[in-house]
Amino acid sequence: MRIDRPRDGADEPVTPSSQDQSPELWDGPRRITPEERRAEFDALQKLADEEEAKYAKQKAESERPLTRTEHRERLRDLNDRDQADPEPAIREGVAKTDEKPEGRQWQTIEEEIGELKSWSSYKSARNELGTVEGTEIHHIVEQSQGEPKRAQFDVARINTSDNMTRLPKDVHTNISALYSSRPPGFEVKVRDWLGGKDWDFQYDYGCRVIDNEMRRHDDVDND
Amino acid sequence: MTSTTIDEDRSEVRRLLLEGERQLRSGDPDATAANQLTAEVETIAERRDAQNQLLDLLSPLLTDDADSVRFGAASFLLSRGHAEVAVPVLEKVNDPRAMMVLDIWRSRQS
Repeated sequence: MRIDRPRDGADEPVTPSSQDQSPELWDGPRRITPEERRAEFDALQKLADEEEAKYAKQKAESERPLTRTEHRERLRDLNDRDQADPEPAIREGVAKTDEKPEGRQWQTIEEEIGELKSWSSYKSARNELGTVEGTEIHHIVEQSQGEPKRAQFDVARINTSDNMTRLPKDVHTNISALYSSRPPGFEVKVRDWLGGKDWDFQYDYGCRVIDNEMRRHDDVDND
Repeated sequence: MTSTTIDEDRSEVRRLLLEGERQLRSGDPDATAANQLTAEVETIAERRDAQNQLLDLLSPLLTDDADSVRFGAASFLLSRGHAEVAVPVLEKVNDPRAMMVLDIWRSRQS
């Protein structure tokens, strides 16, 4: 095979054979030996294998349920990222533990299964938790708060057992409607107002809304 | 155009607020319909506000039996700066949106 690239300043093209014979006159590419080709291939293959292993590890890591310690650390990181709570007093009286607070008429999934657990999607959470007739799984901090235009919370954080509860269907839909409503004189919907708040604020607000709606629900049932 | 008395407007605002609450809490809640009713409340209230009659229109509703009526009246009054009458009602009324309205108002103050 003839290589057309000439030497600098030379009119005559140089063949590979002349390169082999006079390497000091050749400043262009040279023919790669089979050994070098194999070595290059092996290096690329090794790189690809490493990348694949790294990706598989990351994927497995993201799908693995967080341990309690990891969950707390992750929550702390997320909270640190947020701005300071504008109304710390709002959180008073709202316990966030794996024990159901006294007098509360509903329980979180964490309290139901006795475990703090995260899922990578709502679908996987629902598949594992199953359904209970007459109820729907409700997120205390809404799933919509993972959207870019809202709080951008981590999907796994939203789908964590302490953020989910089973509510009567009508209570669940009423809360969703309430979050889509806007008060007279104000242009912003509840859901969009919450989008500017940190996790703890939204969580506490969500608990209060559930408390309120469950009381109304029970009042209607008792009438 | 048929003109309405302020009592008739107040009665209509009350009806709209109750209907909005019903839309949110029916078996098949409809927030879009509820927000449309809110817009109708605002139209009436803005018309009376332009005539400097907003307090006359809404103040009597601040002591209504229905939480939704007290909340709706107080919310609109606060949005138009009548904090002295609206805030005490919003701090007591049983509506989760009262916290939101107060939060927005306080952030505007600071």
